[in-house]
Amino acid sequence: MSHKISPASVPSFCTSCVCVPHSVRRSFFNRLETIMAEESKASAGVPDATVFGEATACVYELVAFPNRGSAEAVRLLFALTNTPFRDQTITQKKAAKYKKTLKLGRLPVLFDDSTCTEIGSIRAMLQHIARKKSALNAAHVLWGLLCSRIVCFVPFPDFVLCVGGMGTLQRPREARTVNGPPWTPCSK
Amino acid sequence: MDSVFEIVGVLNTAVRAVVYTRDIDTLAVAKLFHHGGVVETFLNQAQALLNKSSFSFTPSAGPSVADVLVFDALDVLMQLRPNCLARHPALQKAMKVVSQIPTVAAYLAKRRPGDFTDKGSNPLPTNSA
Repeated sequence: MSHKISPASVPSFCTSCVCVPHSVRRSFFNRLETIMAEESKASAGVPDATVFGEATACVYELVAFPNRGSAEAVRLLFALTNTPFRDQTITQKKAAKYKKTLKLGRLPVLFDDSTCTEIGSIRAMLQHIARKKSALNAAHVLWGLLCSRIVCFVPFPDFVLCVGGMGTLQRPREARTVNGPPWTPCSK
Repeated sequence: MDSVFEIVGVLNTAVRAVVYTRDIDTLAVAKLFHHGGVVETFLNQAQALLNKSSFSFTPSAGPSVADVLVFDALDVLMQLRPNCLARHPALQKAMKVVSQIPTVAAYLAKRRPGDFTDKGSNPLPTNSA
């Protein structure tokens, strides 16, 4: 999509008094605002998405670089457990800005909308999906419960911090919106 | 499962340092696959773990995270050297079992090509295979 304003879209000014009809001026500025919003959205590093499975049933969102990398194991586990997920890719240029919107600041990252969880470690992602989908054997589940599940509930009213394994952070989904306010813990 | 994470982690560190670069160094790839190199060590360890049933590539027993991790690692190696599992028929068979699971087969059929294959954005030099 081109974000340039074509010369034809610029309203013509009256040569004598530089007046422009209000409707023309309003439509021009509306268009300008739309373009600026689109540009800011693009520069914030909103990744491109591919949906595997039913889009309506998607509770998982995986954001990773376009190459296969370490996130491929997570995609394979999604495929193995027949779990629909949204696979979003982000380029290296946009990654730096996008990382600032994340609490953990790590890529690839997995968002679980059902539990409002942000997971920044491949191992934690795999264990999280496996626990939820019961893909682990009973021994693995027991091992996970005994050893790697560290849950820390913070008594703040507006969010719950929950660390499940290394690199997992639970927080409201609104907090990670690209153009939204930065995530700040409540001090009360 | 921790053993699997450990051996796959060592392999991935070595492989990614070589393949995720703008220009893949064919000499570095050859070093990976050299006798006694990182790849051979990984394959031997994976074979040993498979014999100990630390991870079972059997769908009847239920696939585990370990299966996915090893399959992914072997898949990367197969893209670099398609005949690298020639001396490890058990691993070859195990990979085949996982890739024939219907949901996995469907994903493998429509996924993006890896960036270090001949179809990706960063194609592997043809003389390295």
